[in-house]
Amino acid sequence: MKIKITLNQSIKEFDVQPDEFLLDTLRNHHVTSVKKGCDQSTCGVCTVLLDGKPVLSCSLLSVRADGHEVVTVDGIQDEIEKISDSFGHEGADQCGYCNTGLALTIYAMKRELKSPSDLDIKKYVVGNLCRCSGYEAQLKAIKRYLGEKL
Amino acid sequence: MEIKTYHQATTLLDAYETLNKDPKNVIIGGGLWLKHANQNVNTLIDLSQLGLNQITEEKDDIVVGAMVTIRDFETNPLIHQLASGMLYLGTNQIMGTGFRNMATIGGSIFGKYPFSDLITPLLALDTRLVFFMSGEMSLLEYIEKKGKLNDILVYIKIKKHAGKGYFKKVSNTQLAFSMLNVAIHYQHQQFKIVVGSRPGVAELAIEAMNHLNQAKSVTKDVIHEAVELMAKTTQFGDNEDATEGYRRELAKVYMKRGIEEVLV
Repeated sequence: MKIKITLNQSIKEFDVQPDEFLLDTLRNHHVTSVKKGCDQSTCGVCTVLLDGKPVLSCSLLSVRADGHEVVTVDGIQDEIEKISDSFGHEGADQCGYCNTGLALTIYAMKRELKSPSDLDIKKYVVGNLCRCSGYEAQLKAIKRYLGEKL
Repeated sequence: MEIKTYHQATTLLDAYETLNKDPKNVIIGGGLWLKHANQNVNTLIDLSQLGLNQITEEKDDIVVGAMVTIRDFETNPLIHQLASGMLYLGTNQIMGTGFRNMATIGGSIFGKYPFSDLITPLLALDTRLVFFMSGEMSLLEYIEKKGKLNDILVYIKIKKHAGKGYFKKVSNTQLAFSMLNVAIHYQHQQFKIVVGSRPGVAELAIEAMNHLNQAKSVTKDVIHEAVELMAKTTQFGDNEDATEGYRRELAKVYMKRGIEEVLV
């Protein structure tokens, strides 16, 4: 099946199978910033933005993205730089495998929530697992990115 | 799982006819359980272009389209405010934001999932389901119906209750299934108590409700008796998350706390 996706502001056409998931479509077309983790809708490393909302590309059939806008970290480089700087400043990075998915979730959160509390932030990003950090440095980094004085 | 063809339904009739053409044709909700399904699908039917992603308000009900996502549901002000936010609490603790941006109300209900954190509070709120061909039926009636219903859940209707609500999910982490959940709704001196993830699908604690609802005054002793009745008459079971006995004890504690909370 042929589908058209606006991927990072440019229209792309893909030939996909009915049971193909967006994560595989993207990675098979060299969009490797989107990572494969649990592949079972749990860990969040495969997060992309679909029409601005974070979704799990490992569980989204590619055909359902037809006609929609998909954003990966490659499409919002300026914001990713800011998130990356905040993470670096707080020492919130280790292996970095979860970072791209988490960064997209944080980016969406900034646009969706006004002045989120610590609990709001934790609840929003709870589906983005990190097996290196203890989440405290990440929370500080997120707050730094949101513009809070620490 | 293998999917042979994908069909974007253009009307509900189109979806219904496609569904009933072949027993291996299936309707997709959020699609989050596709990878866990064993059966192969001949035609996967998508309802996402049928405008079923709206939440509207009627005189007595909140009407929620089957394709509304859990996230849109939980963040809707009507849902957020209903019965002390019990539906918000029920849905806000389901997995992560990315998951809830995909999971749909229709898919979550139609599957009658025994671990559901959505069915439990909806059952406490007299929710009605509207199917394309079968028409309207209560959520309770649907849950108790045996076998697969070859119909399409179009929307659900939730009564605009003004009463107080309580919801508790018990799980090891937010990303884990509930080992138990309890929902209580209290309005006009009447209790509705639901126990879910027993690990069977949610059910009403009818004898406990009757005991409370017929009492002249809801004293500590009456609450204790009702809790014991619930523990005696509700069927609990073992699975990898918790034992039957542990679930029973949890249910007693949270039912008591819930009753006390809605009475304040």
